[in-house]
Parts: sequence; C-alpha cells; structure tokens
Amino acid sequence: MGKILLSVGYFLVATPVGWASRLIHDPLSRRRDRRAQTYWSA
Amino acid sequence: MSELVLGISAYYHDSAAAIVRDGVPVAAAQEERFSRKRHDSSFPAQAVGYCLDELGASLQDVSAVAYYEDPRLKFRRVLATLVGAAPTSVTSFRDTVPRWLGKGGKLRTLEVVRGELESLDRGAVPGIVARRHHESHAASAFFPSPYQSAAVLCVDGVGEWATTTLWHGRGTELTALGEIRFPHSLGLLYSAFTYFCGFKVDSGEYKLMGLAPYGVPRYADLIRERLIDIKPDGSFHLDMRYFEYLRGHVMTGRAFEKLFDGPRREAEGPLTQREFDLAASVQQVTEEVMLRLARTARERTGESTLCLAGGVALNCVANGKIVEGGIFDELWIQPAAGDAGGALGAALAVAMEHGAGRDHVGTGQDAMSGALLGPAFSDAQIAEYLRGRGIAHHRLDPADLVGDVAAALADGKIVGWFQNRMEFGPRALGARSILGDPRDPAMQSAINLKTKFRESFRPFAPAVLAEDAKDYFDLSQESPYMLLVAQVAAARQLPVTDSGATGIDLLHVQRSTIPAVTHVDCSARVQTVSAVGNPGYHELLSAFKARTGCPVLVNTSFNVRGEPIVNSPHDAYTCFMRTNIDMLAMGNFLLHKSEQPAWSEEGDWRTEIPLD
Repeated sequence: MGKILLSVGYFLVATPVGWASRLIHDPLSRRRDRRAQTYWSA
Repeated sequence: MSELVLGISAYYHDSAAAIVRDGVPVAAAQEERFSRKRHDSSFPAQAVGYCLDELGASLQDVSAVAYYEDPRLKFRRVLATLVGAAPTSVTSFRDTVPRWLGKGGKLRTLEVVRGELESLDRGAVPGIVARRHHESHAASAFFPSPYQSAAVLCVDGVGEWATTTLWHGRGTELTALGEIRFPHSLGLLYSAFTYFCGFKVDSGEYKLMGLAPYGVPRYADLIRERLIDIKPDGSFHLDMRYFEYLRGHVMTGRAFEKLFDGPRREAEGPLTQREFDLAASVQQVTEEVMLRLARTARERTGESTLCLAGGVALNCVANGKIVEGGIFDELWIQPAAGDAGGALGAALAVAMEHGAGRDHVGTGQDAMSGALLGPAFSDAQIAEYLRGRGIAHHRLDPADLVGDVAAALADGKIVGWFQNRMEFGPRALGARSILGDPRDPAMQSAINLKTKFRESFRPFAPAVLAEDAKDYFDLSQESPYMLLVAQVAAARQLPVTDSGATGIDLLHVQRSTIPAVTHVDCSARVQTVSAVGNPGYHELLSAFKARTGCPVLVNTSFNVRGEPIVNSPHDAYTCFMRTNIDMLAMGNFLLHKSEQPAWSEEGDWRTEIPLD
C-alpha cells in the first residue's frame, strides 16, 4: 500500500471516525473519572 | 500415550518455543540463544527444532500448537489506538497498518506460523490455536507452580488489551477475576522511564531497577500527582498527555521533558543524579502499585500463595517487597516471566484444556525442572568440539573438577561454568554462568569491566546454598530463579563510615562480607541453590564453602554485554577467549586460559555485538 493512499485513508476515514468515536466512547479510557472507586474491569 | 503440545511466542521480542508433555514442561528455549541475536523476535525455527529433537519427536507427534496471543484481538487494539490518537498518529498509521494488513502481515500470524512450521519439514503440522497474551502468562505462572490453588497476578506492558490481570488458579483451572486495559500499563510506565533515562525499552528495564538504589525518590510524588492515579486496590490510570506511545514509536516527549527537568538522557551518555532519582522514584511507585495489587489479590481470592508472571514480575525488587510485606505466605514466580514464557504458558493452557494433570502438586516441587529446559551437551559432544579445534583441556572426574574450580574461585579466579541443560528465561542459574568470589571487593569491577564489558553501576547476584541462605540474607522463602531481592543479613553487614562517595562510587564502599554481590542499599538479588534443583551447582557451592567457609558465589550470565547467554560449547569457548575469564568448566572438561593460544579473529567483535 502506498504511503499516499494510506495518508488519504488516514485523514478521510480514520481521523473523522476517531473524532466521532471519542464523542461517544473513548475505547482508550483516556479521560479520568474522578468519581471512580477502581480502574479494574471485569 | 503421552500428549505433546508445542507453544510458540514470536514477532514482538524474545521469541521462544516450548513443549509440554502431559502438562509438564519438558523442553523450552529462546530463539536468541541459537540465532545469537539478543531478544530475537523472528519465528523461533531453531528453538522449535531443538524442542522436537529433545523429545525425538516430529510435528506429527504433537497434538496441538499454541500461539501465545490473539493476533486479531491485538490488531483491534492497535487500530483503536491509531484511530483514537488521530489526527496526531499519521506516521505511526502509515508504518503500522502495512505491517498488519500486508501479505503475510501480522493479522495472519497463525497462517504465517503454519507456513514456518511446514517449512521445517518435520512432519504434518497439527491445528494451531491462539490463547490470549495474559492467559498465557497466567498459565505459565500457575500451572507449573507447586500450589494446588493460588492467586495469580500478571503485570506487563501490553498484549492484546490487558496490561494487568488477576486470576484465581484452582487445580487445572484458571478463573479471570479482573483486568486493567491498555493504555494504562505499569509496564509501559516503567518502560517510559527506561526510555527517558537513555536505556532500551523491553531490554533496559532491569538496568533502571539496578540504578534505583543510587537515587532519592524525589520525583515519586510528582509521578503520583501527574502521571498515575493509583486506587487503594492497586488499579491505576495513566494521564496519557504525558506519554507518546499512542501516537508514535517513542515513549515520551516534550511534556515528560518539561515535567522531569529537561531532555532525555542520550544512550550511553553520562548518568547524572537526575537519572538516579528518576529510577528511584519510578521504582518506588511500581513497588507501591505491586503491593496494593498483591493485597487485592489476597482479598479477592482468599489464597495464601501468589503466582506472578508478565514482564513486571522480573522486577525482583518489587517481588521482594511483596515477600517482605507478608501479604502472602509464599510467592512463586515463573522464571521466564516475560514474553518467552508465553510460549510455555500457551502450551500449558491447551494441555490443561485437553485434560492434563498437575501431578507435581503435593511434592513440594514445581514443574519447571529448575528452569533447566534447554539444550545439554554430553561429554562426547564437548570432547568432539575440543579435539576438533585442537583446544587444550583436561578431562577430570566430576569430584576433582568441582574441587579444582572451587580452589580457583577461592584464589580469586573468574570461572565460566557450562553444565547441564541451558536455562529457560533471562537469568543464568548455574548452567551457563560466570562465577567469582563474592568476598573480593575488586570482583564486581573486574567482572563488569573486563569480563562483561558492561556498565560499572550494575551489581552482581549471589548464588547461595539454600540451607545457608538465612545466615546471609533476610529472606523468608526460597528464591531458586533469582527473582527476589532481599537485604544482606545484619550479621554479614559491615559498619560504613561516611566516605563522601556519591553516585556510582557508592558501589565501591564495602558494606558487607560479600561486597561483590551487595548493592549500595545492602540488598542482593538472591538465588537459593538446592541439591534437588541443581545438584552439580550445589556441589560446587558446597566445595567453595568447605574451602572458604562462605556458601555464596557471584553468579552472572555467561555472555558479554549485548550478547545472548551462551548456548553451545563453541559459544562458551568464544566468550571465554574474548574476555578475562580465567578458567572454563564444560561438562567434565577444564580449560585454563594460561594454556590457550592467543585469541585472534577477523574484525572487532565488540563492534559487531550491538549494545543492549
């Protein structure tokens, strides 16, 4: 895959998807929940 | 009919292969020992070949192949990371995506593994299954342990999503109790500081641990305030604004530099008080998290024993603090706690699923055979090598050989000790070791600078007769795999007057009767040696004790800096001749440096071995 094609895909697809998904749910849990008692997940 | 399962870990670092027979590890080795490339990540073709040869088996005799992580799940995490970090991850995206999606890419790892196994031409390849990364660690920690049931804690950088997992092991079952997910990772926090202090990630973490006693943990509060939020139950959350590993191929950037007083130390640059203090600080925070995790493991399982694996379980200082804290009655740590051990764990997980038992439980022994699971070389093979090369040697009876080596050690000589099967895991445990007299204050510098050609700040580890360990170290349990740090016993410590020494010079202040293995905080990374675990090594320690009254030897891995531990007689002889090792004991053969011709080879080997 050419670098140009990958860059186009990154800015046209990955970036908007990333922005949109962060509005709904951040899979990387970057925002700290100050009320959380624990960071363990089941 | 015995059932064999082959486990494989590959394509990240420390590729390895392992075979378990009816649930018992019978052969295991890292690829680096054969390829002679440190931390080799390529498919472990030679390690697989060795494992099959050890059992006289072909792939047809193997019922299943277990791969140590789930490539598809890992790809989902990689993709989520790249997309989640957009628009700042374009370079990483362009580099990473082709590696996963291209022809023969990582997403098709299981097909690639099949192709590699087929190309070995060792018979029909059985079904290949993937186990999750932390399941492989947990299986490697619990199933070979001597316990019927135990709490199991796995802590590392990252596999698929999990970076920390808690399990309850009972019989032949492991139950997952909880996990902490990427990017929140204690292993990656430690690696970030490893990188910032100028050492290599996935390799230099143990150097940072060795550096910590020189420093003051003056950054620990800052780390807790800004980088990591630690809950009372040991779970944690990293503030990703300070880390770069979501966006690119480096661990830290400007935010880290701003927080910790300037740019990162360049590799091989001078070590300053800042690096000492950073090491002390992250070590203190790591210990705090590990202690809290251990307490949670105890509370949630009700078990009195704990099994550990994952790269952070190689942090023997933190392990020692768990023992010292008395949270559990006993700890058992997988000797190949890093990703190489994943090969073994994956194989064990599949074997247990197929109905294997854990017959060793109740014997008081673990199932690791002292981690001596690698290749052995018979006297006939060693003789063939020595005679073929015209190398001067003496063949001795075993008792005479042990006596001569003990006498040489007592006389201040440095000895290469090549015996038995090679160790599985990163530590040399008396099969491929360089040995010395720990009572000699000059021994630490002599081995570091003239034998290993490595940094002078790094202390050596003591091997001690298990029955004498308590006389020399404050250790409440055995430590057969050199994965626990303990204080040198008060009776062996010497009064230290303020010499005015600072930094690395602190190591030259004699603090105990065994200075070569005593760190600046009077700690030592202990290996206890029992007659059951390694009889030949135990005999040597006993002979040294009989001669000197001291049941302790300096034990360091048989290699030079940047080189994998030696595997074959050729590797051992080459290392012997390149360094100032005085004597080499290989099987029943003794080689004296003074009887060898001058060593010459083409090129400068020191420039050919990359620094670690």
